Amino acid sequence: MSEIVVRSRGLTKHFGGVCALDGIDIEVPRGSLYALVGANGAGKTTFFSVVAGFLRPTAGEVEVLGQRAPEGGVLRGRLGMLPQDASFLAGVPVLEQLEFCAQLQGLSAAAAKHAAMQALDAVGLGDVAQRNPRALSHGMLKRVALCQAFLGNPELVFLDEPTAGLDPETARRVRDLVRAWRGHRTVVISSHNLAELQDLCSHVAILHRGRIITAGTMDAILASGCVFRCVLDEPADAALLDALRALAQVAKVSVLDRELTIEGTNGTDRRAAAQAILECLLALQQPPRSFSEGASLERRFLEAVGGKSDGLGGT
Amino acid sequence: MLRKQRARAKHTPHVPNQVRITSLTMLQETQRRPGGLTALAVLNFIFAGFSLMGLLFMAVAFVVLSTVNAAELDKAREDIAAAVGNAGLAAIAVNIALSLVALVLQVISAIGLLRMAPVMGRVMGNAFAVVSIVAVVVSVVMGIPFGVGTVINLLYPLLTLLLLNFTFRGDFIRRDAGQWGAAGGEAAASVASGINSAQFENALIHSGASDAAGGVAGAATDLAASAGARRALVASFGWRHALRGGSAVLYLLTLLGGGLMIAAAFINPVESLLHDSKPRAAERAAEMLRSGMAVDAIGWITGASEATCEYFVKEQPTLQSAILLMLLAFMPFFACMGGFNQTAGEIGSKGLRFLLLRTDRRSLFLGRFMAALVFSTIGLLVLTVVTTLYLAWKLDLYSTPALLWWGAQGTLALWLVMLPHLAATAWLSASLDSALAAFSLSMAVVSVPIALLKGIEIAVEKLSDHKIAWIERFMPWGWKYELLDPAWDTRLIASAMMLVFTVVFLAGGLRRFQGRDL
Repeated sequence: MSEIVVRSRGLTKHFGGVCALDGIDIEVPRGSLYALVGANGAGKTTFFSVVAGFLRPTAGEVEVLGQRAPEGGVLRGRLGMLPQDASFLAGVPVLEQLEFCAQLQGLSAAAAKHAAMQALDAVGLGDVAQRNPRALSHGMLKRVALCQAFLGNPELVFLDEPTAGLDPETARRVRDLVRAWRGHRTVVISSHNLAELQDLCSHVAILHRGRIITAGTMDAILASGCVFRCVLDEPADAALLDALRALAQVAKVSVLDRELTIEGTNGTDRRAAAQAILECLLALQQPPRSFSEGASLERRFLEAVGGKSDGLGGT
Repeated sequence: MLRKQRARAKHTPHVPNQVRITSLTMLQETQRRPGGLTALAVLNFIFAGFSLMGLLFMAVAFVVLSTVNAAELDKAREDIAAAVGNAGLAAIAVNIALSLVALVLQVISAIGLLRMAPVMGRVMGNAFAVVSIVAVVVSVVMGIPFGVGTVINLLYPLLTLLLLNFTFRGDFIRRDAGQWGAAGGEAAASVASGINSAQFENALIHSGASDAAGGVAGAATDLAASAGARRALVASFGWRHALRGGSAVLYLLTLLGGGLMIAAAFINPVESLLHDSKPRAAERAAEMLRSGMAVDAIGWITGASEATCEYFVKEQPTLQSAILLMLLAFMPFFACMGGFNQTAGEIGSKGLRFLLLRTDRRSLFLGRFMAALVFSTIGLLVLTVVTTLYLAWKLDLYSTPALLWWGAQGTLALWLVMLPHLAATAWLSASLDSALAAFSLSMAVVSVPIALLKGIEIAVEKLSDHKIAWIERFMPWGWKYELLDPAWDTRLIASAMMLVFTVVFLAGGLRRFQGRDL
């Protein structure tokens, strides 16, 4: 059994009368890329903040890298985080702020400067190292914050919406970076881009109104039951849907724009069901753009929260 | 169609390209200008206004002296000499000329600082400071009396030189080197290229891949392993960057300007007496300072016993005692200016979160307190050293060793009064999410209880004829004058009480900081 690096038991956080986290139980295995999915206000950022020690829990307990009630002084340099709404100190060049972070992690002044400059160069911000954070755009600040999160190569990294506000190319680079960390580091990541998370992560937890609705490996969550996901070039017409529903191996067909989710009947052979569905599509001259076993994370999420997610797709 | 387009063009406000570019550049300068430079620029404008008023006064003096006839000259000179001493027409003319040059340079540099222009801001700012210092030196050499006002006039140019050539030097030099590009365009182009994938992997992935359990990659020795080292790091970063943020510039000017004005209120009348040409002026001034009236005045201010007041007046340099006692009364307010934003602003902006990942809350809280303490102590030392040296060098009333010894004791007393108030502001700062709220509440926390307890004290005395001065002992305020008491045991008790208040306030602040959401 793999080592657990983040474990919470009954983690609860209230802000006045508002319950942001309601008894969260979660276990994050070492080396996993763990997706935290939820609508706006579901409690993702609050969970990150409590686990990182920024917010004090109202009840419950959390253990990070073997430490209970983690404090920066204990986990110094082992835990990195990209907070969603933290601002750098105005008036102090970003390079100096990163240097200071690196020094707090134990580097000498010269080594800290080198590490900070190297990190800024790596994200294409070497030229603005001496700038006041106020002079940087949202995307540039996000990249500086990413540098900060990875400074000193921490074992465990929390990324709260890392690609929000980034241009597509930079967002892709960030995804590549996270993917390259698989096995080397544990990354807990939240995003409203569910396709991105489905592509990246090995584990997922769905959070709704401060509670974990479901959690487990991505494969297990997506592949439960006999389900096929099919993307067409055009939205499916009534004739195609009727033909699919008429198949003996198909119990239910759901439509989301050009995406079909087809659930097999109980006890049916998966291979036979897939073959029948594909033959049906080809017969009606609607070859699928993609066909895969298992539902999309988006569909699983909508099913889990009862299809009432207003915050999805925002970023 | 063409007519319609022309009509539309006529009604559309025309903004020349050049104006648009300038506005954009100004906006970019605003965004990357440190708060300290903004504060300096605004202060330049304010002090330029005061300089203009002084210049007008000098011009009037010059006109009066140069237009009256020989018979009236003595009478006119006598009137003006009270303000400008016995300086001749030439001295006043030179002073006007230099002040005018300094004024123009000051206004130009203020604009330059706002635009972050290396020549217009930094070079002109340095030129203003040098010309101002030269103007003071020339005016003193040519006969215009050197007073506390002159020290205040020197203070701002010296601070300008310090800030422009140390604290903000890099902000201008970096731009000269072209690292930022002419108008942000070059930087924008290089930034637009985005993350360099290979470099990113090398820098952030592979370098640490073999160090998964190590945490601090690349560190041969962990230089921040102990809590003390982390606190020192936080403190040193805090006080170095307090100046850049701007609040420290205002604190320094308030402390030094306010402190020197308090000193001037006592020194100027005595200097006038000393400049009196009548015989035995110095002895008469010294006698007046040691009179019963002075004892009564100090007794009224401090509420101390007659013996203690006589100690301040007769056994110590009276003038210095008066200045120190008055500074003791104002020190809580100065301390609030220096300490209100230890953490509040960054709690509001959530900026502390980057640090909380790397250090414990205790180190952060105490490190910030140490930063405020170091900064406030430097300001206090400058104030007391300047005042003591002025009394020793300019007024021939007291022996230099006596002034230095009493000045050292006074500085320690002021520092001890500063401690609990800095700790109280640390507590408030840790409890609030806004620097402005922390400033307002700090001032209220210092002044409201004093006013309240004083009011109760006066009311009880009026109604029952009972003295309840002890009621003030519930605050550091009630112990401040005893820090200079002639009895050393009284001083020790007062010092211990200041330390107790400091520890209590710090413990309260630390408890709040450790327990709250940040």
